[in-house]
Amino acid sequence: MELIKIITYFSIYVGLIATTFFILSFFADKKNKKKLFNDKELPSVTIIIPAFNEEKSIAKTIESICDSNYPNKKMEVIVIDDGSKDDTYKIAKKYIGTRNGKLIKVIRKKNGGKGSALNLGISKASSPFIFSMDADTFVDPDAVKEMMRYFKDEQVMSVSSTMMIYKPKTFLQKIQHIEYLFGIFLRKSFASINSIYVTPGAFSAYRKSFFDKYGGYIGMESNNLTEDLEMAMRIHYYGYKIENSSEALVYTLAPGKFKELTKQRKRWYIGLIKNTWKYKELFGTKYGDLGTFVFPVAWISIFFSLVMVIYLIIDSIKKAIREIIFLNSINYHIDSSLKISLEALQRSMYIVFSNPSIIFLILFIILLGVYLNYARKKVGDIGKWRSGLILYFILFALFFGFWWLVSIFELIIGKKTKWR
Amino acid sequence: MERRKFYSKSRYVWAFFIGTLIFFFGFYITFLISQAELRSIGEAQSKISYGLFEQKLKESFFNQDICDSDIYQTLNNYRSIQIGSIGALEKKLGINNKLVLERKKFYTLIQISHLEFIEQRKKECKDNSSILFYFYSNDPNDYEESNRVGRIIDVFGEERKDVQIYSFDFNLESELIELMKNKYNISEYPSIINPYGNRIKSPKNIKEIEELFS
Repeated sequence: MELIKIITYFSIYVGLIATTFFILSFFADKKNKKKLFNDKELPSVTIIIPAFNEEKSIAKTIESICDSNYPNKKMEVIVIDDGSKDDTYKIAKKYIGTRNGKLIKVIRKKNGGKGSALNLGISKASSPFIFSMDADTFVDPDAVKEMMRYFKDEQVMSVSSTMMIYKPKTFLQKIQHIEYLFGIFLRKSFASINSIYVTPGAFSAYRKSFFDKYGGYIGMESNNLTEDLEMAMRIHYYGYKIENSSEALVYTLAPGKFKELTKQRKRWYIGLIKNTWKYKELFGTKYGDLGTFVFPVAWISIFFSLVMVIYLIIDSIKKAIREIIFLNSINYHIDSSLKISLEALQRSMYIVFSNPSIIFLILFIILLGVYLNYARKKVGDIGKWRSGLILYFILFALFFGFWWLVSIFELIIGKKTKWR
Repeated sequence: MERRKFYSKSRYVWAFFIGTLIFFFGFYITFLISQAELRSIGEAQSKISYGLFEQKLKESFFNQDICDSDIYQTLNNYRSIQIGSIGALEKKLGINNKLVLERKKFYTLIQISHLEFIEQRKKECKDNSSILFYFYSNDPNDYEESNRVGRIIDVFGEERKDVQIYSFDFNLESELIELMKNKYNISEYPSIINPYGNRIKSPKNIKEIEELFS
């Protein structure tokens, strides 16, 4: 058997076991009763919004968080302008004071990166719970309340939300929309075995005492590209829990152009490599399901994706060369060649369905349908998803492998990755 | 930090068990599909043999004129379907699969019967069809080259409908193949033979095949 077939079947096998495990975990968790704050018990919170050149979205972000259904006088909003060169500070300043019972403060500082802005916010926060919120993110009115409920369990150090793409328009945003929708099920499943290893920087909640005890965010000043990922790994490292609230809907603006998206993914993936190395002790039985199963499976999947993409690229080039030579040998009688290929395909359609990979692909599509249905139940209206789903199937795996390839290459050559 | 507990160790066992079951079930489905395809090839081969046998009886016992026969087109259609399906099955189940080899041997028999039929028509009905033999090899080392030549022949066949193409696996363990090789003096592959003219090994392009029939 060819090596690539062995790799493909092995990756399918690992994928099937992992998926079964996550589905079983998801259903097992449904039976568990969790400790949750009721409305009267909800403690006070501080929302920190670091902003750098966000004049287009900052007003909507502040208004969105202030429209939260959270008990009056229990929410404080601190906007940190991280040395913006546009009108971000001017716009944010207009909101200083109280809005819908929420106290709003705006602080300006010299540019130092998101991590430093968040740390300044934490030092100014007066509440025992902190939310980090991106300045291009908008929240559902109940998001803060739903997330805060999980902090009744004192082992919970962070709660992540359900991230969604805000009004996806371009085809890349539509693909990301589908990616985020699929993530809703997986995130809940990961939470059921305390294995969420990223708390999205766009909107996540933390217990302030964790920052007091183990330090604040480690950001660009320490060459860390993904301060949210580092924080999540640190929480696991010290043995605490990260929860997920699938009821807390949060919308973020997604990159619409390939260049922007590639930049974002490079930052994420290089950040993941660096932080995985930093917290390599998380691998192993000491960290239960996370270290024994979730982390290793995640890295095995990445490795397989990379192998597949490299193989696909090399194979496509070889096939293209062979095809050009063949077309030349038949004097470019493309019509005849195409007719024969179509006839052959019709005649041997069975071979398509007698390929185990196709059967597993069909199974995978059914599974994604289940994920999508779960997302619809949680989110309600998931907008236009059909075109995004088709694009996701065709392009996402390729993009995923490509981004990983570029990230690893840039990491090896030591190219500096910037935030924006 | 205290050692973190596993949420449920039995869940791993279940996941392994269910995942493995689904994995093998996927392969089992494809096995069933292949078996169904093999059956359908067998049924098609029976129909072709019936057609040929019927034609021979009509001619020898009932003295019917072979030139009036309408079986010619039907047999051609069956033949083109067969070669595609057998090729696909070879790819799927392997060139050494016993069931595929059986079908292939039977197909060789049908091809030679068909060849006999065409030869007779050429003599008795002033049929202008030309004949082309293609000897290929499915050995992994030769597959790519044989496939390349096979594709050129397909295009040639598409453009020259008057040429009857017969493909034979050079390495097939069949007495009929050996007899064909001896009769037409074939010792190498991939070769293209015009039984009434020249022969060529590994043509580089379609022009070289066209020249065999010019």
